[in-house]
Amino acid sequence: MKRFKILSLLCISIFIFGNMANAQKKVPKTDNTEPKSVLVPSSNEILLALKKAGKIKWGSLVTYNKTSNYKGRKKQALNLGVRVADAFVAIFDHDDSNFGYMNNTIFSISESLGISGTIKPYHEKIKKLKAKNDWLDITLELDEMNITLQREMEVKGNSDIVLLSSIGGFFEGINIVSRYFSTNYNAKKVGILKQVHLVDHFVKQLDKKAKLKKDPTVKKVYNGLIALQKIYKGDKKLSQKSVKKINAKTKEIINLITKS
Amino acid sequence: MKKILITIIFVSLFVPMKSQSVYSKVVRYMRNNGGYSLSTAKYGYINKGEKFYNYKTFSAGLEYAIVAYSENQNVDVDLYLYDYDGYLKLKDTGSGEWALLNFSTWEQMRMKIVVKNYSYYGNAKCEVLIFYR
Repeated sequence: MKRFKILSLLCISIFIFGNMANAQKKVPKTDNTEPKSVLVPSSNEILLALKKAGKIKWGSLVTYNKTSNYKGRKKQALNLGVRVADAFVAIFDHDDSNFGYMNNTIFSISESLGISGTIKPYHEKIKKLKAKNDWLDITLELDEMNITLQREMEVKGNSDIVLLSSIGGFFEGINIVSRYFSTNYNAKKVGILKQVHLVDHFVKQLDKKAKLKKDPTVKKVYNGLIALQKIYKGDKKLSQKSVKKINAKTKEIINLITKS
Repeated sequence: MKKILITIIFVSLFVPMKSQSVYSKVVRYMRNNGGYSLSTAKYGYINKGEKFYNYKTFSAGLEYAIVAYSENQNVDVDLYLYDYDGYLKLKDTGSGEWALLNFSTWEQMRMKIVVKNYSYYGNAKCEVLIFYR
């Protein structure tokens, strides 16, 4: 009990002195410095925003492609992002079999990319959670696996793989959301689709990587991003017609990425 | 009181452990204590008094938690959230090697996340983690 009191006093002192120091710090009320980097959201973040927008029949919005034998690291990376997004959809839908397929496809692609070592502990844990139908923990594990993988790849200098995987996940996320709003148009909620800054960021990143952009698939994906930029610029409010255009373009890109 | 409790719990995350990095401990803590998923992570090296700037588009209807930290316990990490026009919206300038902000929005917003090395003389690695639920 005495120890607890001492500990409490210590913590309160830390809190008080911390706040005193805090009061002395000068904080600028405005800061117009332009950040050099953009924090890319996980595909689940975009899909969760759609989930909160209404009751969604997820199964009708996604094609669970089970192909995993892609040639070339660029295509493998793009497909990794797509399958992670699809796995999140299967989680939302509590679709046991398709989630299992996506989890195995993610692992197979990661083996081809030579990064299965990082994914394996998550892959095994997710399998166990799946047996218990613990969908919440599966979501959290999958998100953590995705970001941890990207973080480790970045540290190891595989920034191309991280970028392409993010772009693949982005296209699949926007493809699913735009498919929903193409038939369930809601002017107040289509804002989720308006990822102008993220698209600009991807375009800028690819512009810096001339060698990467020469790859035929990456080149078409890049053109897809440019097409999205044009749609966003032409219709800032995103009418149903524009939403359908976004869906047509993202569907075309996803078909290109997932074709073996 | 809530801040004291958060302080106690968060300080414990930075007690060195051989098996787990601070990153893993923070991710696990946010997950187990708030059901937060990790959206993104980014690190930078910051000299004393300098800042590390990032843009982030926040989605409507989601709750966010932004954590900035340094594994170097001598670094006083401060965290600021500015809107797109550069106006300060939230800050955590408390003393210590970590800072935390909670944020939610009902419309999609692009914000500026700023991490500052307030006091440490040297090039300190600082990381910002964005969680959502």
